[in-house]
Amino acid sequence: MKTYSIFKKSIRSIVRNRGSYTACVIVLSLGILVFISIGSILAQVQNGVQTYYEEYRFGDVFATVQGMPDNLIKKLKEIDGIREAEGTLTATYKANLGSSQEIIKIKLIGTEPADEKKINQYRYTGESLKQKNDIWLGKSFYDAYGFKNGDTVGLQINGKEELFTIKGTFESPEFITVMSDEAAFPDEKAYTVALVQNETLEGFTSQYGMVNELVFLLEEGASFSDVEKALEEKLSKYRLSSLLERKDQRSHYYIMDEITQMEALATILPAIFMIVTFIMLYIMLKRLIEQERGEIGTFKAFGYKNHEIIIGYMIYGVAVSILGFLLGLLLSTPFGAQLYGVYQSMYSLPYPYFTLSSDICAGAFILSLAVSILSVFAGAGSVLSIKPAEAMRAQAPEIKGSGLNLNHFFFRAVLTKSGVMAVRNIARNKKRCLLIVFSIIAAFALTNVIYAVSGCANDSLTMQTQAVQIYDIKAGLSGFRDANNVLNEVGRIDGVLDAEGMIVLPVQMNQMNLKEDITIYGLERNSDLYKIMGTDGTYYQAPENGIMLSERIAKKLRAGLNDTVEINCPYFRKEIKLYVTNIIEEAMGPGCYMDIETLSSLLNGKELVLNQILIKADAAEMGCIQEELAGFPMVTDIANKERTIEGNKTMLESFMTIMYALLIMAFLMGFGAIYNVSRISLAEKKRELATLRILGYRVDETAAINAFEQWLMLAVGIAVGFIPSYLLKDFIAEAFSTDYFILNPQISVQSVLAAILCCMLAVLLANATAKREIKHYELVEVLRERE
Amino acid sequence: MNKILEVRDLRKNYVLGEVELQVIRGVSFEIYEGEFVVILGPSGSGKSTILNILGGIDQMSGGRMFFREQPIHGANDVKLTNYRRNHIGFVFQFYNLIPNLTAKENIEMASELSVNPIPIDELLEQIGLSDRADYFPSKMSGGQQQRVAIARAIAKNPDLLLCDEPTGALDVKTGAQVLELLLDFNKKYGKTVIIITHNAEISKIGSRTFYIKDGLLDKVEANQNPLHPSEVNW
Repeated sequence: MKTYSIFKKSIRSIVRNRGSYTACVIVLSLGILVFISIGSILAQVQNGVQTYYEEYRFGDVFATVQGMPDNLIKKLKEIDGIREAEGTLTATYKANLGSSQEIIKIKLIGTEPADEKKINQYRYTGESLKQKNDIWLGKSFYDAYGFKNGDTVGLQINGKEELFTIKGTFESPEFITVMSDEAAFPDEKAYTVALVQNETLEGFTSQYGMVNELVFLLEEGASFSDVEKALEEKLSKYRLSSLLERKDQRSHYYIMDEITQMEALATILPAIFMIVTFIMLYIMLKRLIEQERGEIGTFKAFGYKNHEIIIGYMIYGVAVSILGFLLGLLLSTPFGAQLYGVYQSMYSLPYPYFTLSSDICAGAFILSLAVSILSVFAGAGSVLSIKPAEAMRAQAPEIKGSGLNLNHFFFRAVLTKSGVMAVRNIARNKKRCLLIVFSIIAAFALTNVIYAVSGCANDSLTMQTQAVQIYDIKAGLSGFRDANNVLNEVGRIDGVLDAEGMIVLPVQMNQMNLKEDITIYGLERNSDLYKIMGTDGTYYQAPENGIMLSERIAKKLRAGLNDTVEINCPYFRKEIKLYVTNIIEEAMGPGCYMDIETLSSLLNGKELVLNQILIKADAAEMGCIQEELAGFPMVTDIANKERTIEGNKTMLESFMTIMYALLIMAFLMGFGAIYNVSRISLAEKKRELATLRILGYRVDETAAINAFEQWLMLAVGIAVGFIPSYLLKDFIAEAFSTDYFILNPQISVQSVLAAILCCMLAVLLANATAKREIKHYELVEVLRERE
Repeated sequence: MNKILEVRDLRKNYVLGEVELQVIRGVSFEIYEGEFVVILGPSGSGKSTILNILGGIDQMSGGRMFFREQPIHGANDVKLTNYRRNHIGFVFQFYNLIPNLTAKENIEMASELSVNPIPIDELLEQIGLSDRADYFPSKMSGGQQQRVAIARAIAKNPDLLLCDEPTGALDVKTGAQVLELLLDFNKKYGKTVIIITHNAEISKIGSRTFYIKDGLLDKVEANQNPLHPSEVNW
């Protein structure tokens, strides 16, 4: 094959310039790593969820009522658009687990012994439920407590302990995320769902032949809006408390939100790494073609055709893409497993282990090949225009734009000779320098934003527990209680320093034809234990009349200040209309606040009520207070700040691991790009720098001249890098924010300093390598080399 | 006259694979302050190697060398850099100017290293390029570039000016102008100049000629009546 000699030449050239090619391989591999690991997780979760939904027939519409005879369900199937309808009886009880100071809740779901569910089917392990008190627990809960089949779990039902024998575990597409209504994040040790015989649950609840949760499958082509009105009409007499389409179902909503975030990560990060790889390879090959002009001319003079020579150069791209892909693939498994572990801890997915997606791997390979080959064509395309006779001669000096006039007093005062050299070098290689500056901008923006995001997640959670949720203990009550009685009772407990009431009320809010299921927090106007705080640190009072919304909810409902919103809730006697009095930007929280008295009057009309108690407690008495609270029959759950902080910390640790990994990747990308630039620049200036050494310049002085150019480009890259930093920050914030948690990263002095430090470190390392090379210059050999 | 350089039994070997090549095989000589010495020899005779060792950019394999009685042999990189910085000026066959600096800036680059530099404007005047001070090398002819290279070499007022085939890439007329500049530096400032060349005609302008052949000093000839560069024709 004619191109064989060219291949050999190319391979030797790669070996000779292994440092630069290694840098390209590393940056490419990082892009591949992110692409494969996040892409595989995304594919696994997306396909897994989809298959799970299809195989286990996940419902399309979900309704909660106070109680409805189960024999009426078949009538609901008669509604146009409804294919299947099913109902279950559910009830939530305290479990006698953990310490006496905490409340663990289990939501029991009734199931027939030979239940053939058609919707939201169960995926279970273990024995079937034969006895009255047999139970299947949610898998994550079962694993978290290390249960074995045959163990017992006690539930506090109707004032006495009922012991259940664990027969196995179950999962369902309905419970990929298992969270109680009050929780902001999943806590597999605090709450779960469990299956028991329906007859047993009917006995506990005295709701014989009744259901309180309904689920529907729609006919093909039918949508939620087709059946919504009819369902509302039919179910309203059973005190319909929620009617949700699939997209708003709690578990589905959270997993879809996660998928959206992963999609954002899987798009933006590999794109940045791929662009930087393209730039690095392009610059290297462009330089290589300039260097090997004579050789190319020789090949052409011997009769090699353009495409044969281009194919020879293709080996540079192919080698980088194959090595980059393999390295990325190799690192993807541990990184992907670590990342998947984070998701696995939050979601009950039927696929416990991270697996690489062959489609994604194939896509990654094609992507790496495409990026490399494109850069070969862009960088080595000039081969086509080289004429053999011209190539044999040294390249004619560049005439146009031969140098900036830096004789102005300002430049002479500011720039040293090395500065002048650097500025002119940059001016002469504008296109290349622009690409290099782009790489620096990418590295700066990425490190800046990743640092800002890490800091912001930490700050938001810390701020939430220190400045917003000032209370030490929060206790949830079963139903609405008279505030004065409850607070008096709680106030009598030793160690309670302060107690306040709060109402937490899930409602459906309508504005024009938009609907959102949200939770209203009813707070004391001058609450000392729960503050409403904006992202800028401003505190707000719950509005005396009307309702306060977060920007995110207002945006979803397209509600503006002074607009009227309609609120539907089974606890209200009628539909309520309220004015939006404030729209605030808040980092974390429900995003909807009212004055407790106003909300109370809407619920009850007479005395002040509450369904949550906030307590400020003496630190030494915390345990006793919780123990006493747990003994109150009306208290259904207890959350203490310490546990919240602990939970936040665990969640943050996983999050931070990923952030640190991304930070290291961003640093490596910056280093790779800057290192390559330094190598190329050094190769181009080798003769000049050797001349300076011969003139008597010391190694330090010579290296400083080489370094000046990089420092200058770094300065420009950092200055310009602020704009993409803000754009990237907004993109990440939008992608990662949820209704409850607003990711609001701020480009701060610290994040900028961290990014500058990372980039500077990359320059310092690259310059240290360059200095070592300059020190080992064989001056005589360099002088022998002709330009 | 005082000795500026003393070379004793200078040797230089190169190892090429399994073969050891003796390029300089024991050369000894002295050079005195203010001399204009021409080292003459055919290609591959070892003259460039000798110049590189004299200039401290190459290490000798054996022998001794003294600059004003100070030993240079065995000097480390730092000491050799200081030696070049404080005492040596270099002129190369292919000029080796910094392309991103103007003529004046190229000269400034060298003069910044010296505690006692020759004024740059005086040098530009001397090389006849005052009007081209702001030109970049790419916009100058070979002769002009070499004149700038000479100005750069002498700007730091070196004790010893080493010139490697300074006229090798130039035509006769331009070559003569370049040699004239080197001679001027020698006469005006009383500095030592060593030129290496394979062109025997050029040896006629030097005060002494060292003939190098096969890595050995074949003979040394003193020139009682050196010619002016304009009188030399090659």
